[in-house]
Amino acid sequence: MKYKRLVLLCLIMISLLPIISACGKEPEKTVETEFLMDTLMELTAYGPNGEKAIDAAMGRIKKIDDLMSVSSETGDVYKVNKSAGQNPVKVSDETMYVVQTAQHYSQLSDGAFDITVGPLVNLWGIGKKEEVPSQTAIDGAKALIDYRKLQIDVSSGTIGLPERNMSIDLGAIAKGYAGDEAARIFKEYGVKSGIISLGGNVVVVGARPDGNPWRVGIQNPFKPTGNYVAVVEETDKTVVTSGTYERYFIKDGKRYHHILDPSTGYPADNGLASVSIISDKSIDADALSTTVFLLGPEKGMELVEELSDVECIMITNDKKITVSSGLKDNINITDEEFIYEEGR
Amino acid sequence: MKKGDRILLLVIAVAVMVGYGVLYYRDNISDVKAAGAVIKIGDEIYREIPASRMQEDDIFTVEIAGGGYNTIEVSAGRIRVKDADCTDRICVNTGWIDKPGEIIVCLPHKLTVQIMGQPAGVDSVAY
Repeated sequence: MKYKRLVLLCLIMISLLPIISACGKEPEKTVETEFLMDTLMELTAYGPNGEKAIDAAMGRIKKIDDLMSVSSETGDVYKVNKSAGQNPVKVSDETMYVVQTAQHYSQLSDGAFDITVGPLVNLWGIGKKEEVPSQTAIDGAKALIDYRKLQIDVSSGTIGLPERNMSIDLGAIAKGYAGDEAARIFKEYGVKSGIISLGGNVVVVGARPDGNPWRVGIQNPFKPTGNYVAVVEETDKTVVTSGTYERYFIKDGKRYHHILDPSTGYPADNGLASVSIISDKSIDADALSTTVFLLGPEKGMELVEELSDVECIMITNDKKITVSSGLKDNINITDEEFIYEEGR
Repeated sequence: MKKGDRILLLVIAVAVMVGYGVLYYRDNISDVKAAGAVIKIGDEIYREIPASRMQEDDIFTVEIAGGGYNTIEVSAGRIRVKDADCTDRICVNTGWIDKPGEIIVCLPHKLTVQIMGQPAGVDSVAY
């Protein structure tokens, strides 16, 4: 009899668990959106400090935007570019950090990714104009690109470009840094659970309020934003995608997208539709998504495999998905139109 | 087992089922319920179209402060930017959207058209 009572008691306990958790309120959720860094920011935070944390994070993102946008006249990048061919310019610590990181990936990829790609970005003006530049203009811009000429002096905190009309562009990395900073601020404010989406650069803070990992979808390159082809489950990680569908124009039936290849002077055309990188720091994921895209399917995947704690998902124009070795058992392909290809 | 115990067991069984049912609903089904749309300029809501109105055909033009327009079309539960004078026309190229979490973004005009709700099965989409 006692035994039965005990069993019953246990059953009651077990039965109460889901009821308690189903009735228990989810922690307060705050969501805010804003257009910053030339893209759509959506910040979600759970818990009582969510609103304060989001406001502080948005403020920080604005500051980074001011410092690192090519067009903000009071910012570091603007000053560096304006002083090209003259003396190096003193920059803030955070700009120095981002420039150094961008330079690191320029070196790591032998210039496939190049921080001095500014003249080419400016020439194409993807998103602002819709014309293919002349070959002469493209050649002219290409001749100005060379990360090895960038002068970085950490001790004096200065950055310089030796030739006139050279320019740096942090468009492929600054949002990553902003994501890291936003996540840092969330934690500073005690937010244990949140999602930072900076124009599709996702940083997940902690785990879901229910304790499970966050489920991050990988965008379908051929459908409107919000449609995904695969899902990864992550805690305290970042997922950043670079794709040909993000910014582009169509001229004479051909798509010209924003991932410009410094070696050809044209948008990268290597069969890839998108590259997603999963890593701990968003600055790395942001720079790597572009770097790996520009290196192409083979060399790009080789680089990812050499790096620790970095995973990658590639989607090709013919709807094939390849993932890095660490992801093989940790990705769920949800769209049957896409073919999963075993890595080489 | 006494009769009282049986009843108790039954109550527990029902409670367990209800409990897990609520959890399942919250995690999976509630995600896909809403299918209204919201149009925003910057972070300001310009117009909300409740799910009940998404079936009615409608065309209207959003004038952007400082110049420019996006023409929005609603039809058969779907919504799209039919026309716009922005610099990249990515909003127009995106075409129709109708699933929760789908979003059309016109960066030059800071305009978004979004189907309300989260994409089913994920917390966020990396794009």
